[in-house]
Amino acid sequence: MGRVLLKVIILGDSGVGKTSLMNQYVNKRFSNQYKATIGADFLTKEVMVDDRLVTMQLWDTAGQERFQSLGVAYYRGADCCVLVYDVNSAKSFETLDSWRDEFLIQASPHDPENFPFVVLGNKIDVEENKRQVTQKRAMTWCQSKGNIPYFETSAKEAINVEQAFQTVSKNCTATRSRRTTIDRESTQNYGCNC
Amino acid sequence: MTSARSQTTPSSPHNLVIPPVLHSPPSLSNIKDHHFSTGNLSVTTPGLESSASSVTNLDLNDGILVHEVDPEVDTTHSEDTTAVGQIDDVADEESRKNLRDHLRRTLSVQREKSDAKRKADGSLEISPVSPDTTLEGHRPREYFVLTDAGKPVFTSRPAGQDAENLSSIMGIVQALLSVFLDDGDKLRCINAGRLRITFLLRSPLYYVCASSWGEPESVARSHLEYLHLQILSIVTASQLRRIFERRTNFDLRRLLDGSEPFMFSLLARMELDLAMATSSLNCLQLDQSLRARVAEALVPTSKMKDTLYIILVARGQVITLVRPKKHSIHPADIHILVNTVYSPSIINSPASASWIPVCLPKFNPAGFVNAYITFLHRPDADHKSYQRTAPENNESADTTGASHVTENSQGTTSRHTIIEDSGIGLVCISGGGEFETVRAWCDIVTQKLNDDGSLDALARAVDTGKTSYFASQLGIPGLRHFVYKSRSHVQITLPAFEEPYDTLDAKRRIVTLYQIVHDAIHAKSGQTGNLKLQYIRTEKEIVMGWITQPFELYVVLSPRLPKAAVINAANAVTRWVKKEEGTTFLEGCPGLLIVLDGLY
Repeated sequence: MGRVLLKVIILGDSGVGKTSLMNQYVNKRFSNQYKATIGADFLTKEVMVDDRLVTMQLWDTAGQERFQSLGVAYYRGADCCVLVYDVNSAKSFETLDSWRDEFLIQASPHDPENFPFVVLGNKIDVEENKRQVTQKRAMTWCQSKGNIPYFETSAKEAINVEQAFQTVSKNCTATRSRRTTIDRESTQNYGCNC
Repeated sequence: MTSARSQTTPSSPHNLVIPPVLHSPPSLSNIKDHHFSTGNLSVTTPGLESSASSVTNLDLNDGILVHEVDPEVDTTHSEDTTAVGQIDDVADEESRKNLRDHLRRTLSVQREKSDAKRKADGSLEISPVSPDTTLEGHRPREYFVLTDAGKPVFTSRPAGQDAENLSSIMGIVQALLSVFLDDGDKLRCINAGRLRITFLLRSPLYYVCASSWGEPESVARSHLEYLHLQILSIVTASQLRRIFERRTNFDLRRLLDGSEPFMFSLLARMELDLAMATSSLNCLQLDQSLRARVAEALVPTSKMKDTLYIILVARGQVITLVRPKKHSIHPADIHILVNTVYSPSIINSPASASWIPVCLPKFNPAGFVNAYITFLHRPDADHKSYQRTAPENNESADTTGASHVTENSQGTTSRHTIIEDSGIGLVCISGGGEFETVRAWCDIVTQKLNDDGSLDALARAVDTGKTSYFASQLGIPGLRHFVYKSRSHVQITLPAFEEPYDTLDAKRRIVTLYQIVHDAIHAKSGQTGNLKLQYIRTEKEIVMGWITQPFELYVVLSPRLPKAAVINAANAVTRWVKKEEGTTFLEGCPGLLIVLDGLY
């Protein structure tokens, strides 16, 4: 059997650093230049999760309204959703709710209550006085949404990026194994149905 | 697919919206018509007048096989309407349109080009078979199966190779299809130079074939359809639906683990199997009285209430089959079954018999039946290979046109091997779990066939190659090969391949030519008009297809033959087949005595 593929969708307002986070994580690179993502890109990365090699397929999406061309088909079958905001932009934090809703509507996972999300507050390298969203506020929101894991990151200085995505891959596989038992039952269905 | 090509490092981004250089298929404009006309379950194909009229004249209840012209007419077909995403989110519809419009603009530019090309070619598109196509050899076709979430299910690539690249391919395919699905549209194929990438959507699964052999799109599509049926035979359509309703991110490989050999043998089979290509059955050539005697012996007792079909096979071909009265079996189900029986895990099994749950998707896509499989006659090691016992012509003969070992540049020989065993297999399909009854009965049948000498006679015929013939035996000048399909029998007969079609590459080439003519004569690629006669002339041969009410005939002849001689040869072949009909086709075989209520 081939290697497990984990599908991860990254969502958030435009300019919060989705592409940069992904690039930092996969390619260990950062660029100050901003280039809007059109449609969607993806990168793949091999990771070890509990002694097993899995392939992470990270879908970077367009945050800009005018480039949003993702529909049901893209979101379908995601294993985890990463919500990103910019700690220096209150607006980007406030839209997290609608990004989360958007995802749940589009992907319509079987068990929305327990679908694994991870929230990243990015750009913590910017000077403190520019910060608009406190860690406390973000964590309160995450708690209210069913204890979503929260990380404060900097794609530019590679702070917490590795740890954040490690949690992403762990959470994906955790839900997978928890549900294995259910699948076994549902698939033992031999006999003629006629 | 520029993004896929230019990608050198696995981790570089795949930008999905840089419009790839897509060559749209000439038939792109027909996409919708095609899809919605196939939604019904009728056994005829709309738009194929000649076939429709012949079918109405048939008493299907008396036929052995369900007459099927278009493999896309599929019981499971209706399901994939659910794959068409509803655009209920109006807010960003505008922006999504941008992307699609962009893609379409690129497509339409190419479409104009190919339209022009089509006009120049006339109604029959034979451009893919320019002679240089054939010189290059046949790069192995590649197949991919993925879930609609983009998770890999199956690939024809050797295991472990390019794992990372593979997940990128799956991602790109899913993304490409998604762009059109979100718009309620379907991507059928991409033409990139000589390479054609064909897509088949059978929600929750997507099927992809990449081929540069020059075969018509309908052929790649039917391969993908068969691949789908093989998967359904392992998991059933309803189980598949249930799983993906619960979890869209399910990794189907967990369920299909260990079933790759079935897929590989199917892919190898489809390369050269003209019965599959013509949606019919190719029965073993056999003495009429022997066949009748064997069939009588196979009629089950009244105790076997749940028995559905009993099939005797040799060399991957049906010797005879017993079925309930008033019930025909679908050729696709037989092909899937035969492929399953001849898969290494079954035929090489040291056990004396196998009892496996299998879904016959055309019979009932929702449930499993049980197959009892046992080999009555195991040839001696000396007779294992047919080639060694080939009749008079000592060309490396190929009886079925299906059995072969593919050699390819990627060293996947062993994975693509069809087991060419002359063993005689008895398959009993039961709707219930009456294992002991079936086993006891099979033992009795074996004994009976042994005692009256039919098994010996069968084995002798199979081992000495009496079950096949050569085109040269017909004594028709210039005739090299032919395929004759009796439309009322839904069966074909064809001679073994001989010189100059005795090499694998030559066989692939001639099969592709047959497929092109077959496609044209049935107007499967949106060709206008239904021409009854199609004629292709290459540097090496003439291939002619001829369709009439009772039969379809495809002949391959020497390229120097004048047209009148070609027609004469075709007529001579039909006369010969008529004469040999008794040994070639399976006629109304005995039906099951018990009436199986509720099964149909």
